[in-house]
Amino acid sequence: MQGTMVTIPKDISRPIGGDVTPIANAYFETTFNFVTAGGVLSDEELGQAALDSGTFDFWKSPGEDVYSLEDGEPV
Amino acid sequence: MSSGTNTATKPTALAMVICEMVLRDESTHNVSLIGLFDAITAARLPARHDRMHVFVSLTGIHGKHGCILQCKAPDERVVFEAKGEVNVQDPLAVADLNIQLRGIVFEVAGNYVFEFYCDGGLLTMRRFSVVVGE
Repeated sequence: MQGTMVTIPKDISRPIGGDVTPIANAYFETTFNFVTAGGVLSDEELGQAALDSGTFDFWKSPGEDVYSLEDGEPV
Repeated sequence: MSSGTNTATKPTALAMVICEMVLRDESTHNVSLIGLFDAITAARLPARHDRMHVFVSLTGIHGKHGCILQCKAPDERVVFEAKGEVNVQDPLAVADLNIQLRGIVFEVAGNYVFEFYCDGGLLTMRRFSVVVGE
């Protein structure tokens, strides 16, 4: 079983977080966010990260080249 | 870090799970763990993982106990550390700890490990790997 991730520039990671806080009897939760406010990816960076991650590599498949200009008229 | 209020029981780890999502029902308080995994694939490194949860279930907790969660890289370097205090009065109760990590960065591939310490002693651990590939 595997998760998924995207690649990012190395220098935007900084851990911030707080103490573990009980929200009910015997249940504790906390969140640690490694992305600083200034480190939020722009749309351009996010798009580049998605491209680099291989998310859209399926477009390179020969099976995606089934259409050509001869298949229809431009709208 | 124990309060010393109990010597008959000692903290015991029932489970330690790495997953993508933890859902807690508001009415029943039942917890659902979604998307359990033990490996992460990245196209290249360093790589950021958007969201992961480390879920730890403990029992035998009586009073205050100091807990530490560490994530260690393949070279034993500590990538991440979280410290907190768990305070449960019923040693028979199960204490669930849901630790969410947003945007954690992995710089190298290999076998990582989450280690959970209670009162300075290693209670349980869970390995996972970071793999470079398509």
